[in-house]
Amino acid sequence: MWNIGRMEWRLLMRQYSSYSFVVLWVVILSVLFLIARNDADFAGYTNVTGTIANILLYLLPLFMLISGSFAIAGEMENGQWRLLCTYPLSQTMYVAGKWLGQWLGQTTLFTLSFGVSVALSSFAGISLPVKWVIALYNFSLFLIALFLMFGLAVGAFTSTRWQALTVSVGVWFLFIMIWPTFLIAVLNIVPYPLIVPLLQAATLLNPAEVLRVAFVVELGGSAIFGQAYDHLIHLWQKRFGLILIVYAIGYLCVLWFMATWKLTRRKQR
Amino acid sequence: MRRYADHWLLVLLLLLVFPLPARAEETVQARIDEAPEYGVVRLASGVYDEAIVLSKPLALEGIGEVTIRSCRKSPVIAIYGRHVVLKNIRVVQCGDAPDMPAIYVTGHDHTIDGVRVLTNQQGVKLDHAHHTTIVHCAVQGEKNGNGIDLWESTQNVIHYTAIERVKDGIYMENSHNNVLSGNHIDNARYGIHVMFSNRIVLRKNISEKNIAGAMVMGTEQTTIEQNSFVQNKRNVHSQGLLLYDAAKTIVRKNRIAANRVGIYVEQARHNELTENDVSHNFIGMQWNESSNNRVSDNSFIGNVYDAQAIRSPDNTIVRNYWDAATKLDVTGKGVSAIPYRADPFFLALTVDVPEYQLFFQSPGMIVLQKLLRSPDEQVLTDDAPLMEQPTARKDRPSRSASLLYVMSAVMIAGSISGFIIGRKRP
Repeated sequence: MWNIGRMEWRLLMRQYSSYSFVVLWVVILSVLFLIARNDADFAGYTNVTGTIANILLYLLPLFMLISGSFAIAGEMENGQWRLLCTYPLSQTMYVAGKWLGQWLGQTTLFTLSFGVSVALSSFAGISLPVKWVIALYNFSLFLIALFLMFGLAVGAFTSTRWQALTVSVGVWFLFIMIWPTFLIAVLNIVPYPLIVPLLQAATLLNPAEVLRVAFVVELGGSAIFGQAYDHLIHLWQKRFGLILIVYAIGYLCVLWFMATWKLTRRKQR
Repeated sequence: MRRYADHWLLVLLLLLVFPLPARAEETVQARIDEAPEYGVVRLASGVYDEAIVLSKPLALEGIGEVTIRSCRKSPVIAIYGRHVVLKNIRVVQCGDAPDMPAIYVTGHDHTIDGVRVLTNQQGVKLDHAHHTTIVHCAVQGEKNGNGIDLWESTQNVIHYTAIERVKDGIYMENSHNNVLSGNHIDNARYGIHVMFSNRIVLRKNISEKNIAGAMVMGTEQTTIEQNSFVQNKRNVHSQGLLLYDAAKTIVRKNRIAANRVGIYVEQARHNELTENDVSHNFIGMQWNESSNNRVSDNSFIGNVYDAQAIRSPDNTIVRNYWDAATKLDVTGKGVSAIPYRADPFFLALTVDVPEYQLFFQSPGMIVLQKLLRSPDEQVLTDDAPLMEQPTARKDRPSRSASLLYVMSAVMIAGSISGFIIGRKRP
C-alpha cells in the first residue's frame, strides 16, 4: 500500500499537469477572494459566500472524479494493473494506496494554491476573516477526499480512460448540476409522507450536498434550511466535527469496499 | 442583675432622647396614605417587602438604593387616578401568579422615571392608561410575561427603556397614538409587538436577538423610523420587521441587518418603505398577498436572497440599490437600465414541501431556476435599480492580516516541502 501510495504521490508531484492545476486553483481562488472583497462584512454566510462555495462545488468534484478515475483506468489501459496483479498485493491495499497518494498529492497542490491566493489577497489589501478562510479550506479538503475515492470507484468499474471520463462527468452532473431537479422530479411521484425520509436519505448519499450543508452550518447559516431541519441541525451542531468525520470515513469505506470488490472480481477473471 | 438593669435604663434613656427608628414598623403604604395630594414621599435606601397602591396624585421617590419587593398575588406597585410619579426605585416581583405585573398602571398623566423592574411575570402593565410617560427605565424578566404591556392605553410615551429576557418587549393592543423611542430590547420573543393600534410611532429603537424585531399587525398609519432591527434570527420564523395586515405604514431609514428575513410583508396595503438599509439577511424582503405598496431608495446588500414575492401584484418597486443586480447606466442619471428580477420560484417551491429548502443556494438550484423561470407577473421586479447605494456605508471593520499571512506562509511552506520530497530521486 505504501509503495503504491508513494508512487502515486511522486507521479502527481512530477507531472506538468499538476502545475497547471496549481495555476488554475490560484486564479480561481484569487478571483473568488476578490469577489468576496465587495461584500462589506462576510464573516457569516452570505450570497457571496454561497457563490464561492458553489464555484468550488462545480470544480473540485469534477477534477477529483477525473483524477481519481484516471488513476485506475489509466493503469487498466496500459496494462500496469495486470502486471501488478502478479504481485502479492491485495486489491484493498491497492485502492487504499492509490487514494492516499492521490489525496496527499491533490491536497498539496490545493494547499499551495490556497496559500498563494490568501497571501495575494492579503497583499492586495483584502482582509478575509480567518474563520471563513479556515471553513472554506476544510470544506475543500473534505470535497477532495470524498470525490477522489468516488473517482477511484468509478475507475474500478471502467476499463478505459474514455469510459472513466464519461462516467465521471455523469456522476458529477447527477450529484452537482441536476441534483435538486432530479430529486424534486422523482419525489413528486412518491406519496407525500415518503418525501421527507427519501429526501434525507438521498441527501446522505450525495457527499457534495452533505458538505455544502456542513459548510453553511459551520458559518452559522443553518436557519436558511428552514424549520423542517431545525431539530436535526441542532442535534448535529452538538457534535459537529465528529459527526462530519464519521460520515466522511463511513462514505469513504463504502466506496473503498465497492472498488475493491469490483477489482477483485476482475482479477479473478 | 444590677448590671443589666443599668443597660435597660440606658436604652430607655436613648429611646427617649432619639425617638428615631421607632417609625420602622410604619409601612410605605401608611406613609403614602398619610401624605397629602401632590405631596412627595421619599424612601431611604433599603428593601421594603410589601405591595403598595398609589391612588392619588403623589410622587414616590427613592433616595439611594431603594427596592420594593413583593411575592404576593397582586402587583408590587399599583397606580390609579392621575399624576402619580414613580422615581428611582427598584421593583422586584417574585410571585408566580400568571401575567401578574410588577407595576400596574391605570388612569392618566403618570410618570415612571428611572425605575428598574425585575419580574418573574410581567413588567409594567398599562391598562386604560393615558398620557403616561415611561422614561429611563429597565425591565428584566424571566421570559414569562411581556416587558411593557399596553391595553386600551393611548398617547403614552416610552423613552430610553432597556428591556430584556421577556416574552414581548413592548406589547400594545387597541392602544392608539403611542410613541416608542430610543428603547433597547433584546432576547425577547417579539421586540415590539403592535396589535390593532393606530398612529403608533417607533423611532430610534434597537431591537436585537429576538425572535422578531418588531411585529406590526392590524394597524394603520404606523411610523417606523431610524430603528435598528438586527440579529433577529434565533428562530426559523425570525424576522426583522413583520408587517401583517398593516396599512399606510411609513418605514424609513431603518437598519435591518443579519435577520433571517429582513422585512416580511403579508396582506399589507398602501405602505411606504424608503431609505432602509437591508443587509446581510438570509432573505432581505419577503412579500405575500400584499399590494399597492411603494418600495424605493432602499439598499439591499449581502442578503442571501434579496427579495421574494408571491401573489403580490401592483406594488411600486423602483430605485432601490441591489448589490446582486447587474447594473448598467446608459443615461448617466444614476439609474441602471437593466431591471432587477427577484424570482419567487424558490419560495413557491418550498410552500408545499418545506423540506426542499435544503436546496437553498445549492449549485444545481441555479440550473433548475433557469429552467423553470417564473412568469413575469409573479416576479418582484425593480425596473430602475440604483447604481449607487443611497444609504451611507459604514467603514469596514479592520481585521488583522498577520494571522492570514502566517497561515498562508505555513500552507506554502508545507506544500512546497511536499513537492520537494515528492520530486526527489530515490
